[in-house]
Amino acid sequence: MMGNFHIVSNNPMVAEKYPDLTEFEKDSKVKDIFAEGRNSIHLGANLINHPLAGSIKPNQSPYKSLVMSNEKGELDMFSLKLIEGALQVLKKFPPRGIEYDEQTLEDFQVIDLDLLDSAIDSLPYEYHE
Amino acid sequence: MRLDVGNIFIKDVAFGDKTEVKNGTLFVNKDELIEAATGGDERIKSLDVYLAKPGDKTRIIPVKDVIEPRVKVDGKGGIFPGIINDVDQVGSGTTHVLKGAAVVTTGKIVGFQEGIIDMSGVGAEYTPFSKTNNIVVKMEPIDSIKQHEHEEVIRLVGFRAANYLGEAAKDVKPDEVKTYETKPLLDQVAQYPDLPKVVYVYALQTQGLMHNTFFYGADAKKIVPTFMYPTEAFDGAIASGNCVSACDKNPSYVHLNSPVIEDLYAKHGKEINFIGCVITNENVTLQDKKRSSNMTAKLVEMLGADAAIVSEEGFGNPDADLVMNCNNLENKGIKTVLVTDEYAGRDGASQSLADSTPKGDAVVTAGNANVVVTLPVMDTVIGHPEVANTIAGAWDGSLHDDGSIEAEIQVITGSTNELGFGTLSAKTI
Repeated sequence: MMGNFHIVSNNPMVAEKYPDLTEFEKDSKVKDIFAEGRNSIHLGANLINHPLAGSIKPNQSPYKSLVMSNEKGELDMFSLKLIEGALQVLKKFPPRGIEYDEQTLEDFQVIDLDLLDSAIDSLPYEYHE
Repeated sequence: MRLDVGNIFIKDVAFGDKTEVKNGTLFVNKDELIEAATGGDERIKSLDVYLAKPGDKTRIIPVKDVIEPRVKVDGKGGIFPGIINDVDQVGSGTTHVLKGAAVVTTGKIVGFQEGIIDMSGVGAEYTPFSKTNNIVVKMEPIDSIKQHEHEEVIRLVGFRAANYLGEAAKDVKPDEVKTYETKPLLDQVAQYPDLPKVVYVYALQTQGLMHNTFFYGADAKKIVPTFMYPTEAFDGAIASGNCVSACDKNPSYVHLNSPVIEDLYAKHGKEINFIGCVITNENVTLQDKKRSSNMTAKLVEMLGADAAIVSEEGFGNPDADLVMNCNNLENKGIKTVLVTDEYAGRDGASQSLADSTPKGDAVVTAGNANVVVTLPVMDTVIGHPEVANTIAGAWDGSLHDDGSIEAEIQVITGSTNELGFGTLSAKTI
């Protein structure tokens, strides 16, 4: 699968499913993924998926996947507002101090991948070459 | 479209030889219920049923969904159309309700969990489902099942259980009958020409596994916003597939009793003309959010509304939909009221939502999900007590050695429900 977008992710399941599209940041935290996304936005990329899930809080899941446009243009204020909002939310929630077991980590990976899949499924034609 | 809802008040629940209602008690034939709930699904390894009543020293954890037993006695279709009944048009005729009874599903789907219902103690004050007579269905799937299937299996178990129990209401004379009616648009507008026309924008959580909602069985992330007669919700047109964030997801029970719709009907013909609902979604991509919020505002405008109520489900991602819906509606000159909850930090001092707009100048909050409570020890725990440490809103050490739980109220099912189905309110001090 090729496209004019790429994925910034620390989720190994995403890297496995979309090896050619994913910038896999193996040991990154969620805040690093958000920071990476914010840097790209400042360089003119557009954020394609919302950086937060609708239910799972960013201090709960250790995984995050962002879909970014490859094409770069003017700074997109809408994307910037959302990523900054996500960073604020992350700061607001206290760390939970929970060491998850392997099965729970896999469950978080599955949910992150599923939300990413639903984003990629709904991308318009211009994003699929 | 006119619907008569006949409420049969259930004051107690007990196991018995026959599933029936007698003098306000719902008797349940356990074996029949288990068979009906299982529905021949070979992915189920075990299924058991427990009862939990108001005042019991009982904790249910982790809660997946809560469903009210209902049955159609007149008119088209069955409850939860497109899911466990044919996809007929619902929302008209007569529906009977076992009011005061609820099916609660419990079972592990993923390693992190959600949802506590305490039937007594301080936790009971935060959940509306401590006041219902609960028929708790605990389901374990076969070992090889994956997360997606597991979610589906337990979701359907709950609907089948509620459907089976609802049948017991079919031939019972209701204790009260409430009538709700919304006419076709032009007739409805003509009925109360001097009252402000209000539309309810009903946003559904729709982002993927454990973040899904179904409309007539259709995955709502794949629909574009559409019109709905309000009474359709009372027959199960909207069904929950949400499994995370216990405090502010909408269990199927809440959709069946949608308090925003109830309250709008209560004012219908007196203060307002409640002309209908627009269903919309809360998707993952920004493109979807733009499309849906643009279309929502267009549909509300087409209906000729003067004002709109917009409700949210979830937190974070859907805050963007809430704000976009607000801006788009207000930009069309439609007065807009938002209903949400807050994650304002434990002291309530942080910004409540992940997004905001100056046009959001009329907002109803259902409470702050970050407030910390200590839930006392219970005599009985139904489900999996060990998940308390990994539940959303808990932290390592939340589950104390004696069985008490210290956690944010987001662990409690329905505590900050964004349709206002909770008990929290503010007071001036």
